[in-house]
Amino acid sequence: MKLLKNIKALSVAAVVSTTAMSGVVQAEMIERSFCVWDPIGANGPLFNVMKSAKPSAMKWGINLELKAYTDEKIAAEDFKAGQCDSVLLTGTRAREFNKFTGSLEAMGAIPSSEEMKMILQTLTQPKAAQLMVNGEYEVAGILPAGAIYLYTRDRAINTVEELQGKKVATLDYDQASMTMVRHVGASVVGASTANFAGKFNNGSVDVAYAPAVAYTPLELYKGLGENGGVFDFALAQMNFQIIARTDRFPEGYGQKVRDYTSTRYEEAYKIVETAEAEIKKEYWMRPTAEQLEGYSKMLREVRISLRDEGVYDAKALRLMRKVRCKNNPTNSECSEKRE
Amino acid sequence: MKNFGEIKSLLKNSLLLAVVSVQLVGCQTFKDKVVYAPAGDIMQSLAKEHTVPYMLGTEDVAVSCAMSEALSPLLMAFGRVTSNPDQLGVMLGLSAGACEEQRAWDNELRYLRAMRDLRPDEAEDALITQKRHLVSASKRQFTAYNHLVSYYGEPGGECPDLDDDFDQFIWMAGMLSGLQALNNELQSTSSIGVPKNIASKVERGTSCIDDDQWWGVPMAMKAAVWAMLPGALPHGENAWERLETAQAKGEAARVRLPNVLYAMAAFTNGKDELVKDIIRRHADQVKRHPANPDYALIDTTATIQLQALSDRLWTENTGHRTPMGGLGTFWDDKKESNVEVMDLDDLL
Repeated sequence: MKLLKNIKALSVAAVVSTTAMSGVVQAEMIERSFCVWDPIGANGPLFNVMKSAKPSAMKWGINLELKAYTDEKIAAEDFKAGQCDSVLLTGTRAREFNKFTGSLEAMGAIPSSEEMKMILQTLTQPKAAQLMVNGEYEVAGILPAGAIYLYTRDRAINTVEELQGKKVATLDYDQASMTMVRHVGASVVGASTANFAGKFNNGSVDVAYAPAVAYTPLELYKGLGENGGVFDFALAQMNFQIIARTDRFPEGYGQKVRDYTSTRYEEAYKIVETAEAEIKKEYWMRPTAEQLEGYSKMLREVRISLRDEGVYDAKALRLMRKVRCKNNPTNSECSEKRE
Repeated sequence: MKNFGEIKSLLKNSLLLAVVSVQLVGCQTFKDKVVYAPAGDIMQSLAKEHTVPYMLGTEDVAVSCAMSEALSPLLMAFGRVTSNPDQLGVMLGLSAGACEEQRAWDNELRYLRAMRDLRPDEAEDALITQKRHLVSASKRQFTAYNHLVSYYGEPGGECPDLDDDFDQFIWMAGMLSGLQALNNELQSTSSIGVPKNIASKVERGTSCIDDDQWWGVPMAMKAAVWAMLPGALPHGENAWERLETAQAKGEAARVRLPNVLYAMAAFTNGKDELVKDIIRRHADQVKRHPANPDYALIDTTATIQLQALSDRLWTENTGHRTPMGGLGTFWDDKKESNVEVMDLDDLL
């Protein structure tokens, strides 16, 4: 009789604890939306990379519901309107949510992937977390997308002076790009990520800028033709950023995602390297050391004025200057410290 | 003297070895040229004239897939002794790639079920397995595309001489392989070297074949690229209208492959309701109008591909794939019955 009682008690305990355990799982799991900008949509590379992160997020108690956006502007607007709890955007679009990380795409601020890797690693440290938070938004990860290069239909346009009067496909929502194009005396032709390649390939513009990953899929070689070239100078380091609404996620979520994202850097760089290798050797236009120095100085002046206008974040520019100076301590900017 | 004897014996052995080697090599060349090469030519022409048309007239996609996986090495090895069987390679690669796609789909469904059941480890494992199969599918389809390029030249430039129906069919199959290779590579999140401009090249290459003759597939491919590749849509065109026209052509020919391209484009653009409508309409058409007997395999392949999409939607929402006989229905359909019911009031 006692045994029967014990068995009964055990069964009740087992049922209760099982229910309680499943209750814990259910109670801890929160549903959150993640709007992913991918120019190709739900079958695109960015969307699929983000889909791979879903099981990890689940382990942290978040059930992420992914939604693909082919229009980056709408993704940003839906996020701002509270229709998405988190979003994936390009660094330039992300600037309105975090000026610090949004300034990592500042022109000429990161000369190569070597410096970019150093910056990404620096920002993954837990103590960088405060730079990632801006009011109700937190940058929960940055993925590198490679250098942005200048594509010209005519190799004779091989100096900044030659850009004067030339038509440049310019992302019209990016104040920094507009300022830059005007600064060199070129004329702005408004463009978006969806139509800049068409404008370049059909000759509506003389010059366009894009990361190497756009070269093959958008057939930029058609615009380059026989006479064109790609200027071997990193105008900026493009990146994608995951932004989350801080009040919609548990504490520590941002850091967990940043740590997860950092495990994907190598993968991202492999894609970038493959894409850069696809640009035909003869297209590369190599600037002289003197030209490089001149461009770096010019871009620095533009960055400083954009900082003073409130476009770029001063701390971000300072961090990037420090990284540049770590690699090249003899540069004059390292003693001047204007950034 | 002893040394001389050794040298003599060495020379003798060397000579013997040389004679045997020459004979062996000669024998191999003889076998290659006289035995294997004609056998290869026969196999190629048998495959072209009978095996491919026979298979296209069957409905068992699994058998076709298994045949392609099993016979690929045997048939393609004839490329060592006679002309490379590139046209056959296109078909084999496309079909063998579909076997791997099927395995990838199963793992996608496992991933979705695990996510529903809050089992992230299982979900992650399913995703990894899925990606492995996608990589393999992509490699096979890219090989098929490369056979197309090696036989006809790269799509997107000048059109090659596509003399007969078989050439045109292979041209279409090779371009489909290219698109699939790219799509599967993107979904695998791996970099296996599929050139990212295949979509643009295929978009132009579809103009080399007649849209009416090939059940609207060329236009469906072109419009699907317009709908999926940023900036690809020409001024004044409407990808969705074109896809709808292609759908009607496929239905009229009873080779409903355009539906797959239409549904893929809709799915990629997040138009889930349109995906459901395409599947509904396809299921209804298949029930009412049997496949064109010459291309039954292609029509069935289209059904299986749409079933895979339907399974994905069903699993996401219910935890299981499309119920038996349920293709064209969805979990949230309103149940309507036109059977009259009896009044129970006087019995209660």
